[in-house]
Amino acid sequence: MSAEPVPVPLAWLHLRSRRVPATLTALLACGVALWASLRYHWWLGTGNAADELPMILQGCAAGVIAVTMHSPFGEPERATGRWLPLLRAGLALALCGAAIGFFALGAAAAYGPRAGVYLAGGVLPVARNVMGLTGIGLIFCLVTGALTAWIGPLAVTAISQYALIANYSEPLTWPARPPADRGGWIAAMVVFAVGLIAFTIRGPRIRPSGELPAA
Amino acid sequence: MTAATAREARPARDRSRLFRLAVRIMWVEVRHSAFVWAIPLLAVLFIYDPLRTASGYPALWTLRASVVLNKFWPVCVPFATAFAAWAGSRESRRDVADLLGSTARPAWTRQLCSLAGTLAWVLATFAASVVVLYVRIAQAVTWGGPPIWPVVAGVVALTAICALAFTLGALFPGRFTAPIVAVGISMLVLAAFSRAVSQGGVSVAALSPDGIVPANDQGVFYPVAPDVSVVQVMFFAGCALGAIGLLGLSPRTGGAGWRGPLDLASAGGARLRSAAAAVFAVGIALAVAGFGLAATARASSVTGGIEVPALHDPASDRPIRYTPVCADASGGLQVCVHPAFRGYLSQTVNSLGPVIAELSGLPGAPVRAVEIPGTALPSIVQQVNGDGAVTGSPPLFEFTMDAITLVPDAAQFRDGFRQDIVHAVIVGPVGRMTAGGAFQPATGTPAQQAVEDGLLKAIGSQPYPVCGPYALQCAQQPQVAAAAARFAALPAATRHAWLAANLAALKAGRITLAQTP
Repeated sequence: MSAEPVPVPLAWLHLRSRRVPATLTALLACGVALWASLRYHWWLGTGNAADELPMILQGCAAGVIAVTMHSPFGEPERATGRWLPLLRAGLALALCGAAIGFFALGAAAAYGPRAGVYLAGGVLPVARNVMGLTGIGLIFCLVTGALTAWIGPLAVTAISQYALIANYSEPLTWPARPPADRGGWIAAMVVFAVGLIAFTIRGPRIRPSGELPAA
Repeated sequence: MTAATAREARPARDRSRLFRLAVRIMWVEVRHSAFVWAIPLLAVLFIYDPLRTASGYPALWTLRASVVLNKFWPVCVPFATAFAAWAGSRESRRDVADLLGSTARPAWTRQLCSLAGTLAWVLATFAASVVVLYVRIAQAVTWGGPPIWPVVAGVVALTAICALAFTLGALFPGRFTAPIVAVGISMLVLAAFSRAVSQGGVSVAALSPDGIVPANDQGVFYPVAPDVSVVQVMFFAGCALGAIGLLGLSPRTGGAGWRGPLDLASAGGARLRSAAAAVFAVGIALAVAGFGLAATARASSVTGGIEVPALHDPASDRPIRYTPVCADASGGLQVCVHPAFRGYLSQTVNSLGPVIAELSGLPGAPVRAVEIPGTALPSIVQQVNGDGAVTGSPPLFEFTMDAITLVPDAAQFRDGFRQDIVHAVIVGPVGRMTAGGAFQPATGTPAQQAVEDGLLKAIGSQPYPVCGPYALQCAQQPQVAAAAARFAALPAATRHAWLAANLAALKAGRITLAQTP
């Protein structure tokens, strides 16, 4: 009878199997892109338009986190022990934290109020959007499999871009709501909680090839 | 059958077999394309904004059809690029590159079929949306015909970004490739849009399919020149060919390689390398030519559109013939609009009627109101975003339909016309350009402001905006507001009689605020 593996090496193996170093690099790149967009005035202007580019980057970060959840081992991994659900949840939370941290660092590095360089709304909406969009990504992991779960964050980001520009306000467009909007926070946190709980329990949908089924 | 005829018949049979094979592979790719999952999302997005936005615009072809490139095209970009990159990285993702390397056909053929499978769905979705939108527009529109060139430009631009994303997917396969390529290209599109908006769509910004919303009367008085669309088609066709050529050349994607023509042993051989290199070279040449032509794009002072001198046909600057639609407003004013704006005639008459009733018979009061192209308005009126100006003798109110805002607002439509006319009669021109080229607004003396605002208040309109971006004096003084309220409270006949007796002195600035009734 083999001894149960200790959590730390198991966690490390879990991270390696999910290509977490590459994920962190991609998330860091998102933070750098945010810094560059603020520093070099890539955004469209003030007001709502100033949120466009940061929101696209937040959608990208959520898509990257969702894709990270893909398991290269498939079904057999589910028989490996009781740690797997905790590792899934821990990884999703840790990556969300890392993404928010990189965005905050990017915004802080570019911060220059005299030159009018700052992240519109601050870091709070970044946290709300990254967590909410990641929740969408985790839900899509259950539906399409993790490798194509980027579809969800991409779609919500696209809808939110429309809402941002045209001042639409619907429950689905919470990323476009003002930073202090309570409804936006509730919607994002509910989506994140549902996605995280469902993903923790069930894990990503597994296909032999990791591909979508034929149309 | 002789040996000679047998030799001639074989290539024809081979060609037919190759064609059938290509169609079969294409069909397999179309059936297995993951893009079908994006179609419902794109349909929701299409209904959510482009269709809704187009329905809110005035019922004119150029304006409503602009949502194809300004609203729907940008949202197709992340999905098209993501799924193209996903398809491009497929062979490496599935670890079958070595297995497929031993097949008889070059990797390029296989990859082009895969790209075509994704592209077929992308373009079919785009085309279906355009058809739905154009049918909806045709049911409501009053003038002109469906613009085709922007659709062609959109199709070619989507083809180019799909080819580019597919090539990036093949070059850098990985689990993160699809979302990162999608977001990267979306950011490029957004940056190009930002530049197009800030530069007004001239110079290289003309290459961005997604640009500024056209003026209300674009394509109404003058035809829309296809110059910008032609340049976009050239540039994006070049980009597409360049990306496809790169796919065929790069050894990373199983291509022929960049080595010298003597290296016949590389994958695909010299013929394939020559073909890929030719496609790549033609693509780069087209893209450079398109970029160079776009750099010369400028705004036409006649038509208001963007023209590229090397491609521009002067015949497209000739105005479109039309017979104005006219109606009489109260006070004997005749109002004429372009038939495209027939639906707004009664609204215009209702807007102008009360103000003409107040001013009729006074010196400078217009006797006729005619719609003209936005580009024909005096530049000083365009500076202050005015809707019209009173010119000539007998006075004529020339106005544009830019008063129809993209978000319909009846009060704004009405007040814009009234403010322009009252200001012209009571104060005079909206301002003047100084020798240094700066705009100096003419907001009038306090007495003029009081009478002007009193008249506007009496007919239920907002005061003249002295707090506009060019105004020197921002807040309306309390004593001016009080005098305006007093003037508005007078009976209409008393107001008119006072104006008839004092307008010349008021306009000359000889009447003080205390002398107003």
